[in-house]
Amino acid sequence: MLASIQETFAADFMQRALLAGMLVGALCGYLGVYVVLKRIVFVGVALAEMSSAGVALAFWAATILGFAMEEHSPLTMIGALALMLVGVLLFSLRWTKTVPHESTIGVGYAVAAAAGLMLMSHSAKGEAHVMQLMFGNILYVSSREIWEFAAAAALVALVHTLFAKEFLFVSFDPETANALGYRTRFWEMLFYLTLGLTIAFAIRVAGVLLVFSLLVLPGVTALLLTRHLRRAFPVAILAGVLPIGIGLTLSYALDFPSAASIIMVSFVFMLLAGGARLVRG
Amino acid sequence: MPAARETQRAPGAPLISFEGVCLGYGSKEVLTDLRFTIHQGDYIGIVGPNGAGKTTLLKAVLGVTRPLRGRVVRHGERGAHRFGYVPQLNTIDDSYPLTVLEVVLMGRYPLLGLMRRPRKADRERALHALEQVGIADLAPRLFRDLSGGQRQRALMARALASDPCILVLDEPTNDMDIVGERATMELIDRLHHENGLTVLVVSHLLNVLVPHVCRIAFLGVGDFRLLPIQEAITEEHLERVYRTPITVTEVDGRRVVLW
Repeated sequence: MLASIQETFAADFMQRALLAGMLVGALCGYLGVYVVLKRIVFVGVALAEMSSAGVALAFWAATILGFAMEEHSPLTMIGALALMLVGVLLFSLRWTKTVPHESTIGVGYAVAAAAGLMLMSHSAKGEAHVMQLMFGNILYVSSREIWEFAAAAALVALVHTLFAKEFLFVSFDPETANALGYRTRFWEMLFYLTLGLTIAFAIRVAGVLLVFSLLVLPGVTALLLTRHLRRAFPVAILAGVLPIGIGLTLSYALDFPSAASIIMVSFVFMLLAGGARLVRG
Repeated sequence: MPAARETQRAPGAPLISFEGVCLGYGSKEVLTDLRFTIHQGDYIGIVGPNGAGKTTLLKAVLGVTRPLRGRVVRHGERGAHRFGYVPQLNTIDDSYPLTVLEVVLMGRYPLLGLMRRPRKADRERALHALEQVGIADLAPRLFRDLSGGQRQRALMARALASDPCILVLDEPTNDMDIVGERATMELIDRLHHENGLTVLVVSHLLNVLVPHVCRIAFLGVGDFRLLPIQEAITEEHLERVYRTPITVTEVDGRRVVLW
């Protein structure tokens, strides 16, 4: 078995995939605890879609303006971040009481997905290539993308370390936090900003589907396995990291898509956690 | 038996004054021409039906919202207006797996400032607050596993942990049976009398507040006037306010309003 694992990760691209996946799994696992508890699972996929649309927008703009743009041009990141910020602004605030907040998120997702497809269809880069760049594939991750994600992850981790109690208070009881002087809108927006930043960088590394799954499954696994929130965060990080290696190994051995393999392993982890919870009572 | 009310005591120093205040959202006015003062040591009840503006008024007292017109004056030093706030139970998200102690510790957060974590002294203060409300033994249990009455006490402990001068409670007896209701109000009485806290309680149930508070005002019916309990809870005054026949009687020394 060890030999099999060694063989799996002998190639550079597999090592990069493993490292990138573990970084994404760790950070998304941590944030996923909040995503699940705050019931904003759909926001994760909506922000991912908006970031993807931003990448498509960058390529389309290059086509219209008539200049060739490199695959990993900073403009794609700027596009992703710009539309991510729009999404953060839209989703973190309650703009109107007439339309339910969930509907705003749904509108954002649908429009971003449609806009991305439309822009992609007129891109000089070609659909398949732009799809790859929009939606990512962990097996094609470059060292540069790993470094970029690591830098973003370090910033997000720093913010969450410094303001852990603020995020917790505002999430658990925003009314009381507001009553005691916390600017809940600011803290909500800052939280969504860290989530959006993570997603914008993560989807280029791991793709929309895998990132969305890592924002949900490890958090659910952790909440099933632990009784206390303070233990849920480290367990969620582990639940985000472990399936990466196992999933990539299975994907290599059985010739399944890498992202799907990781997601299924993560799902099995969640089922085991659910079973353990049932047995424990 | 209800705690003896300090009906004859002279009012303490003024803490917060509402001067011709109009409250609302956007262009919609909810409450107009509010004129009253909360004094140190007050024990005030605000009664009104749902939608009358009780929470709007509370938010203005807390300083969370600004008046559309008029002004809210906060007298004395800034520290004199430190609030302990007990929200309605149904506003709390009970999916979070937090212990009672962790919830109560949140009452210390505003005192810590940004980027600072609670220390041993903060934990000790939180535990002391739990002792004050009689549920120190529940500290390690999950908040979401508590009964309604226990959760209310935990939230009161959280409010006390912030060393408040003014305790503000929004519908503290909602969804409680009569035993829980009585226990909650008697706890609030005790905190007021033993800790010298200024207390502001909001409820839509008149008979919950009448046996306990010293001054009372009515929202959503007639003019808002904060009156001593002996003046406010008379048949004559209540019939003017509610425009319906009212009987005020005493049972075991406790004033009860019937209609």
